[in-house]
Amino acid sequence: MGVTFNAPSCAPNMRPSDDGSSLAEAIVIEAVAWYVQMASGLQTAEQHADFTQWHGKHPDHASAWRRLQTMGELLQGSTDRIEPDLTRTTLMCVAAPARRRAFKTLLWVGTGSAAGYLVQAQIPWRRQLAGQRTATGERRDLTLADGTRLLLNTATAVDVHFDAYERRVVLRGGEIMIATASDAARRPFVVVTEDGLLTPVGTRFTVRRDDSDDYGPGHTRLAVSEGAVLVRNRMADESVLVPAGRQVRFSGDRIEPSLPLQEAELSWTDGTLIADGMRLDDFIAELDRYRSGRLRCAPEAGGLRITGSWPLDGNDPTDRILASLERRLPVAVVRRTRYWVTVVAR
Amino acid sequence: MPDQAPFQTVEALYSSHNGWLQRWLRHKLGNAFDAADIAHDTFVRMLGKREMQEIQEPRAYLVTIAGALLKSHWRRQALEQAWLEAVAAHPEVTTPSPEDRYLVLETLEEIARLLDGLPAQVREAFLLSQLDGLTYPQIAQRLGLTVNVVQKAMTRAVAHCYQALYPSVACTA
Repeated sequence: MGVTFNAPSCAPNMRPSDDGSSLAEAIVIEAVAWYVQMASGLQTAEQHADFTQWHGKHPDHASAWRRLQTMGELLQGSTDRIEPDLTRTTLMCVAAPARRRAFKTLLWVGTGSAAGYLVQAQIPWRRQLAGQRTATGERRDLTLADGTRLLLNTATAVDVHFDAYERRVVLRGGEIMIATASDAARRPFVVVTEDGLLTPVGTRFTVRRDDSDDYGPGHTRLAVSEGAVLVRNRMADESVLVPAGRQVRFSGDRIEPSLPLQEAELSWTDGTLIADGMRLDDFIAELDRYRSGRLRCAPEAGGLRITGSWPLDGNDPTDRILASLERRLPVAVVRRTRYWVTVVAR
Repeated sequence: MPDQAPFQTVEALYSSHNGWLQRWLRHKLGNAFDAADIAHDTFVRMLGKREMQEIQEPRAYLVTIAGALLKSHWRRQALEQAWLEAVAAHPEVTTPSPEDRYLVLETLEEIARLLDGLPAQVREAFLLSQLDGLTYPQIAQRLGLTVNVVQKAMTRAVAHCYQALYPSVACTA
């Protein structure tokens, strides 16, 4: 039945009381098969009789069975304390592949504030956990309880979680700027993304999280303008200190070498979009973040270069920026609908 | 060469390497409180080892132990985060009191350790069976699988958990 027993690891921290002696592999495989059969909800009276016979046939059968029951009790016992739904959701989140987890989280953020409010009202230790979200094209400036400034860029979702031990900002997606304030209680400040943890040291910096898309796999971008930020990624567990004037891109398993800070990377914090000899396809991808619907660049126009600075404030800034592209470059903006716009070569 | 002294006690190790170990941990963790805690736990772990005098490279040894402790620390953090998210996503569910939170995380950690290394779909099928008590046809319907695939997933998960609880070869190291 395809069950293999490889050499085990030596870390059974949770072995219940048992002499721990190893049982014959064949017996364990039989016991597993019985366990799977009995859990199916489909067993017949006949199978049950067969099981009883198997169980009584050898003391090792009974031992193997007892061990599996211990495992089952550990799981079922948890339901006295925790709703199965919560256990399952928690464990699936810890293990789930990145994309799926982001999706779930965003769903929650989207259906949001009423649920969040209820939860906060019920549970004292969640009192200071708050979700914040901006719509596409929106920016929001917040001051947190400790005086830290948190600026949310377009289409951004964060959780702010302050407790007695730490100040934690979870960036679900989008982009934020943080200017940390020093905390009277000296609690550490942590920014968390799907890719890793950022620990600022007296600092001003931006963090941007991009989900995997046509442009590549999901990653986090950090740009430090004051102080320094320690980056630690989740899977590879590498860490790098990024000082002021540097920026870095990292994913769960890799931190890329840091580069000199591009001012354009921070310009959104002043409500400006800046391009300095930027490829048009890259520029359009940036602009797309600020615009609802689908904005794309035709491949033949992608290699054109654009330089300029545009305000992101006001009504429909992206429409104004698109109009200015038509004046500056040999391109035309094709609007199939309000929500489906393509920039093509003229 | 202090690294080759034949009779190092934990105290001697502590006084010569604690500061260094805490700095190393602080670098990894970015905070001094957890670093001090884990350094402390590292030395406590060493008290339990008998072959102390044979340690040739105390720092490498300390890093091995501290590294394992760090991993479980991070794992716990990730679990706690996931727990908070799960609670937020289920406002209708009765949640444990704050006093129970420690026990809850402890329990979740135990289960997570059991399931470590299993693919998501296998985990989910297994948890639906063992926590929710669903039958295989119910699980199959819920996950969009055939009953046969559910049964295979269960076999894999149960065998995996058995092995996690009862490694079949005695560990000697």
